[in-house]
Amino acid sequence: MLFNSVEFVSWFVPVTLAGFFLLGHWRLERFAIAFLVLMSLFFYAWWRIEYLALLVGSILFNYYVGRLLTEYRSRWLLAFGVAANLGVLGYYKYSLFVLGNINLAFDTSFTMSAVLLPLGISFFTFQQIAYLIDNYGGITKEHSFFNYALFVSFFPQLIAGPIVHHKEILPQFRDPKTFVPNLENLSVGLTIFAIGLFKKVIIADRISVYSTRVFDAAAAGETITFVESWGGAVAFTLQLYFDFSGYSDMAIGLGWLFGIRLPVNFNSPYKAASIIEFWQRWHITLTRFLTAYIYNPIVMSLTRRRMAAGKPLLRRGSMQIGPFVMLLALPSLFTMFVAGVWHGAGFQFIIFGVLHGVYLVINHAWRAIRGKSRPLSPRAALLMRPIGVIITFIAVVVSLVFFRAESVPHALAMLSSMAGLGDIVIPYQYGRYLGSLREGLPAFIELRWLDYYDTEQVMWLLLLMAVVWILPNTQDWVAFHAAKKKDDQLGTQTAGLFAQLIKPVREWSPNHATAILTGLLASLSLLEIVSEAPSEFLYFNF
Amino acid sequence: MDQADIYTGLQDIFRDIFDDDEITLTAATSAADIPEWDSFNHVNIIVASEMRFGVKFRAAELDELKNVGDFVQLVQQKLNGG
Repeated sequence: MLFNSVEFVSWFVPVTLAGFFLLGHWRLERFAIAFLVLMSLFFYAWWRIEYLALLVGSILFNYYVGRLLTEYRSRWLLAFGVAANLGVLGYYKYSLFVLGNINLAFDTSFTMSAVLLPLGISFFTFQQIAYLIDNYGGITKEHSFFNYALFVSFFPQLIAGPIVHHKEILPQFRDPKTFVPNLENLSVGLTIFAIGLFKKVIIADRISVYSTRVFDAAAAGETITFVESWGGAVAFTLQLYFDFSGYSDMAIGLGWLFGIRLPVNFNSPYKAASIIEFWQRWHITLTRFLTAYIYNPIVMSLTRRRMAAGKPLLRRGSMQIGPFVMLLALPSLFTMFVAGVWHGAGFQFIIFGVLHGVYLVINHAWRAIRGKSRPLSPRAALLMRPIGVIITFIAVVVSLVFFRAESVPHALAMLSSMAGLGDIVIPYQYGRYLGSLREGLPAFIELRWLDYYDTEQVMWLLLLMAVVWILPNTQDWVAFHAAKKKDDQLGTQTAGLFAQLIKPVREWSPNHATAILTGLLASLSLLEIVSEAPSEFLYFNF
Repeated sequence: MDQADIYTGLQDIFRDIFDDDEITLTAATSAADIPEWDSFNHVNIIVASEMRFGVKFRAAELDELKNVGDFVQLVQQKLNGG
């Protein structure tokens, strides 16, 4: 079931909420949890009932392996559990890709029928691997079956995150407060959900046209001009943000309705002034998972070896090639390679990941080299920040061309146009106003009508750039209210210029003005979803 | 080994890693008090403590340590076989 579908909004959520709180009201907390598990499984099965068995099997398998691990702490059992999870993920996600490349390399012709990727498999696999590792480490505290099943299947986060950690979710299923309906939670939750729905159906779906037409044309082998290629790539960069952060907002808002705080997944990523900062703001729960379960273990074990051997270690503000390469560059590249592979089977995703690994290494090297030199004065830092933001944004736009393109050659075709290697063209849309000046144009400048570019698109992109750079994000907006409630989950450190200028709007609270605004966002979005067939979220492919 | 020994040992490690003999640790000392205490030095401190106290940390425990007090408690818990 999609969050942006009529059946989800009109009866699934109301029925689930009512049932959950009714059971809670009768003090049947365990039944309320079980009911939420059942509804979540129903939510999953709505898409394709065949894959329900896979989800249930995965939950049962990991729950029992987890219990055994708490008892026996066996390295082999852990390896078996992790390998089984990765094996299932690998079968559904990568077998066609691997087979295709084996055929290509050895000139064989193995075939297999296409397998449909089970929704959310990348997400629930990661969450459960973390659970197994922590059971082995002896740091898991909660072992109730229904709580575990809900931790994996809770429908707001089942399909595309946020990737939650058992230690932040499981305790909430024990808290008696969770089972009591709370007006605050409902109003905050509905607001966040409405913002997310608006981001998805009004913004992301609308601008997807601008990216799709350019990427499709490039894939079909058409020559794309400089202006068109940038227009398409920037449109996709904005589309992906509004799609995925809209989805995350909806998930977090739904969590609030049930009194469950899900972790923040986006914190205005395009306001980042460096790539390191970008990954602290973009898909935060994935960064967190990769850091805790891949990057940190590698760095720790390498540091142990180097320390035992008396070799130099990484020190802040000093650039020594040996430790930099061994303890930072290689672990970063490897971690981002995994991030790339996790996103999908295809060389373009591997390039996307490794490219970000390279960006991160350059960023760290720059920091290390600058290191001990005098820090910038506050005024200079303020001036430098926009430059950092723009460079970071361009780097991200370029990387997302790989992310969006169907294959590496298609991505390269787009990038060569973006690099200005195509024809030099003045859009006829504007060129026609040049009048007689047109006669004087040098021969290498062409005047041509651009098929994949229009003024409305430019208006949209400029407007949305202003939104992502200046406006506070969803958390910022409700942060004031949440901070008053001493809620640390939603508190964030950033606030845009706009936020400082217009305090009353910034400081969300349940009052008439915000009610009207939220109602407006919600009604526009609802009108859209009843008239148009719901479109899938981009992250359903991962 | 009691808490005081762990504090002394940890203080030696901090003085060595940050190259600063003025550092005095209390339970409340956190990364906010020592500007050089970033994620790289965090790993260095953890691994140096492993060697000194003969314990082993898990990567997942890295993020749970909010201050020196937490750290000392975790070391003691591990020494007691917890």
